[in-house]
Amino acid sequence: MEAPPRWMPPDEDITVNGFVISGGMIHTSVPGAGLMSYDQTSECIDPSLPVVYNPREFDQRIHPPYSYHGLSPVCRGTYLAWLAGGRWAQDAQIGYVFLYLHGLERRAIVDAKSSSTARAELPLIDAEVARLLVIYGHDRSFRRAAMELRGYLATRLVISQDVTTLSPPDPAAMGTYPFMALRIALGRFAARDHRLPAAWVYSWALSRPGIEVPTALRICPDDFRRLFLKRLNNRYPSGIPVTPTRIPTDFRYQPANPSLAAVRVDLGQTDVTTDAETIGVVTGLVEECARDLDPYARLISREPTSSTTLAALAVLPDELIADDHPVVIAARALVTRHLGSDTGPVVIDADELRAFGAFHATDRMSKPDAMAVAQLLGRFGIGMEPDVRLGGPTPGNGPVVLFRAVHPQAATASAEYAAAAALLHLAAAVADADGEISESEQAHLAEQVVATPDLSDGERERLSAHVAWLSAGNIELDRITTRLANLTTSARAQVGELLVATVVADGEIHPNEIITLRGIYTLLGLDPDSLYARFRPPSTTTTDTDPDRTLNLFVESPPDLVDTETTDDRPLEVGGTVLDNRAIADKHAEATALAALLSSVFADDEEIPPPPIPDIDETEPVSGLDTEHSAFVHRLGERSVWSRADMTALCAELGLIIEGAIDTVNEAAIDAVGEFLIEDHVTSGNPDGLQIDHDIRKELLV
Amino acid sequence: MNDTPIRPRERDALIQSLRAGVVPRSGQQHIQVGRLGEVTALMRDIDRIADGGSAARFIIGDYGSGKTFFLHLIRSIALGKKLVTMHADLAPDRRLQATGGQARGLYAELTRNTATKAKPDGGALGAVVERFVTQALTTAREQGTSTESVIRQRMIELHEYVGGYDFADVITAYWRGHDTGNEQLKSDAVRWLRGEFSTKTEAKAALGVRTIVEDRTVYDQLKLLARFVRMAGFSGLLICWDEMVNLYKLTSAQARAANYEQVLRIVNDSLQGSSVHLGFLFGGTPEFLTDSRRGLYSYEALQSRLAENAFATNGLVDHSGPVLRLDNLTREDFFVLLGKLRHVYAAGKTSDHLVPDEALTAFMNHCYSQIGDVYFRSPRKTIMEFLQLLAVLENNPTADWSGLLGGVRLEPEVNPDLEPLPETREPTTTSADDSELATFRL
Repeated sequence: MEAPPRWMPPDEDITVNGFVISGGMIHTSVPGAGLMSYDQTSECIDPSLPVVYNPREFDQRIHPPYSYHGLSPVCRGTYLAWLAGGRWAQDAQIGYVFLYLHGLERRAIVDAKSSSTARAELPLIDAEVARLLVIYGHDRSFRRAAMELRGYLATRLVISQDVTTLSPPDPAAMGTYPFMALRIALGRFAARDHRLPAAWVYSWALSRPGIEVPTALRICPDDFRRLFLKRLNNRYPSGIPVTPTRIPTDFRYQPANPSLAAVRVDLGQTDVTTDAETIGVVTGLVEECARDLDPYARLISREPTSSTTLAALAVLPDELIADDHPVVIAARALVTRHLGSDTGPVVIDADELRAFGAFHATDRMSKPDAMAVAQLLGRFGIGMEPDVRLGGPTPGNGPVVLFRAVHPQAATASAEYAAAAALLHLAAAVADADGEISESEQAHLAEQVVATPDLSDGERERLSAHVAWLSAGNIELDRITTRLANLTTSARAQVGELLVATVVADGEIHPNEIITLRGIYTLLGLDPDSLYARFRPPSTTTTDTDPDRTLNLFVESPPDLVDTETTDDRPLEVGGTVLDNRAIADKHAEATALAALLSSVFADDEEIPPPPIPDIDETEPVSGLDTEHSAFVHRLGERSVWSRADMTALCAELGLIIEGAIDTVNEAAIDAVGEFLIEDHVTSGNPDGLQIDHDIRKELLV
Repeated sequence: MNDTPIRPRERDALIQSLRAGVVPRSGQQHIQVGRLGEVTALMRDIDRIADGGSAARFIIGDYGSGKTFFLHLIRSIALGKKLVTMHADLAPDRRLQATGGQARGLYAELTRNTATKAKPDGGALGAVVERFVTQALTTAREQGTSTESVIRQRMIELHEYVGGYDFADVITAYWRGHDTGNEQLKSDAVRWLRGEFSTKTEAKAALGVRTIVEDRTVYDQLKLLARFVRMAGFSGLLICWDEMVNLYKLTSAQARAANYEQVLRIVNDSLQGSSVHLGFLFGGTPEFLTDSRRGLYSYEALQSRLAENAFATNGLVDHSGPVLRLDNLTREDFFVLLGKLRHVYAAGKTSDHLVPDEALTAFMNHCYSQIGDVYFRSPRKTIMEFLQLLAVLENNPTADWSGLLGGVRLEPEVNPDLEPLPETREPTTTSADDSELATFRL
């Protein structure tokens, strides 16, 4: 029987050839009769070999295959000095670190097979390898060998220990943790009680081979984890139930130490990671969390310091908003004070919205503030008018209307809604021509809301609130009249045509609607009598005096705004009724055109301005790129790594948008130089930064 | 073999994929062998798509013959020619035609795998949209008008397509979200484009549009996207569908017929030239094509359109028809392939080759002795083993390759398409322990 190499425990000091090595963790071995040969103990320290200590020779190179006995006496001295010096010298030759790693590997593979003490040391060895990785991980081959050893250790730990005593690996560190170990652990949980604990499921979900790391996870990992675990625990309070399958698996490990043989671990294992149903649950949840956190992640990516702002709160998923958050308390109080259990609408002073916290501008709510307030109130089922998201102006210091949303509310205006709101606004302006909107006029407007076709119940609800807001004195008739006057004659005529088309879109018209239309025609400077020429005379049984009767209409074809020819005439069916594709397209086009025409009349600001011309210095054009992208390439030279937020800001300054800009300049770089100019998190491995390859940039500029 | 260095990142990604037995997403050119005629034919297709034409090709080959590899090779060529590519594997929950969301599932997978030349690994849909919007932004600046009106004006081109209005509205919403800092709106616009809305009510509330991408509109949506990528400055759109055998495996004859009808629609549009800047590649096994009971040939209209040239036998080939058969690799191909793998492993440096030429033939002989011809006909496992061998040699420079050959163990792969469905599972409580540890020497 051969005597194995002797292991120095971590808590022992040892003196070798005069060097005092603290912390053990090395093997010594002296070959000879009954002992192992050098081939079998390549990395072990043989104290009988000569050693020369010469600090001036520290940088003498050593080459693989690494072995202690194969080193020159000077290099042995250097190795022992490195060990005695704490094993952390930055400038150590990587060969010495490899020698040391080989010893740790021997302990983990050979000694641990027969010794329970060695098995108990496995976590310690893993920690030591992790420490070495931090210092020497920049060396690619060492990194690979060390990571593979960590993978082996993790697998061994899972096999040899009670799985419930282990912590699941952090998905962010999965590069150093083998999927096999995770797979075995999950299998053990499944075999144990047919349930998977949430924390392990989380690690599995985000480390499945081939998984595309969600943007939200990259940008806000803690929020992602909280959301995932909350949802998982809500749905499966005692863990995901699974039916384990027995699938034979094995695990192979090729040690870096040339003295050691390859290892194969046969695992008659229970596996759940191939179960389609469980995978479906897990991937579904990841996608759901990624989707719901996406707006928040985008915001944080653009403005990293905004995580505690109103805007961030407004887009955070419900589960991540604390009930006792001051803004949440303020919002609840506001709603209770004004609406109670009523549905509203109720008029309040815009100043009261300050309860939500400090706004960007001190004197007046800014557009982003208004958007955040509307989004946040929407989370409590409360609608606000005006709502900037639906084309409304930013509330000034005047009245604002709140209402409890009984029906689902839209977060943006459909073309039909925008057209109906514009029409209503005009109608209210007509009613307001005498200085106030009387109750009967309000009732009339409300009827108009109900009668507007093609709107959802939620949109009608909002339009009613819009009427309340207009009636509260928010019609700036002078401004509307001035702006209408600024429209060209043909544009005003087109507005008139479109209004008629919108009003009669349901195929019927109420006499009151004609009265309104006449008023609007006058406001537009069009001849109100021309309206009558557009309608067929009423049937003989209808009288003008009966408001409950409606007129049958004949409406001319709407103006030919767009070519609505469809290449596919397959019918759409709703409840067994075939819809006319062309009619749908026409209506949509009309509504869009009307909303677009009137947008300048009701716009919050003076007019919708063209985008500002970026302030770009004279720059040399770059390889087929336009001025803005060329300037972008020049400016990228200011740094080596850009945060996404900073690059977004740079793009905004140059009138570009980040994803499009990166794609454009990288394409130009590949065309010209064959390499990417900007490396993102996927290609660079840097989760936060966008890396610039300055060599490529220089070549591109040439 | 020339000594053009292979970029470390590309080399690592290639090796990593091949060692794991999966097809690499990039760098295929470094290890491509043979198939010159097929590649030339498809390069012509790509040129036609870029010129405003269309294409539909069926890449047919036996299990393990390299269909997926070939599809990715063509995809990378298309990216080089500034096409946008989208690819997806068909699966039980991803079909061309369905009523339970499976077609939308396929579409969602395609959008995840949207690639451009500058983003070949996928996830490029946002970049495509932003390139379009950036152009509109520039035009608006030049014309002194609003960006939104420029977008709307340009989008009129799409109105003639089914769903064109809503598509235009969604792109406009993306811009508006960007312009006003409304991240929710931007995120919802991307979700819509990816086919992630499952109800119209939800889409209407989020974006004000009436429609969503649904099972029956997937093909229409792809036609829209093909036009849109052109408007964003790309040459066209290439769609790659792999694992078409999943349609053959559908048990319902009705579901199969519905899917084949969709294939027919695509083929017809392509042959008649009614789709523009749009090409399709379908990857499948011979039975998927020719089985007269369940394959494409069971659908009469497709059989007549996809019939292969009767004269293309005995070594004669015709690469002009819609069906392109991939022959298995030959021994000689495989020898060249091993040489290329060795070269990639050495990052393109001949001086760093880990094994000499005789090791390649010895490796082939060893494989032949274990599994016969299969080792070069469906080489996935053989490639994995060869790379394992190189990995050991890299870590153990003094080891002798010939001594390691004995450790290479191969077993013939089983085509999972022909495997019976899994039996009912039974719970088990057995677990491995230390005693099951075993060692062996390579």
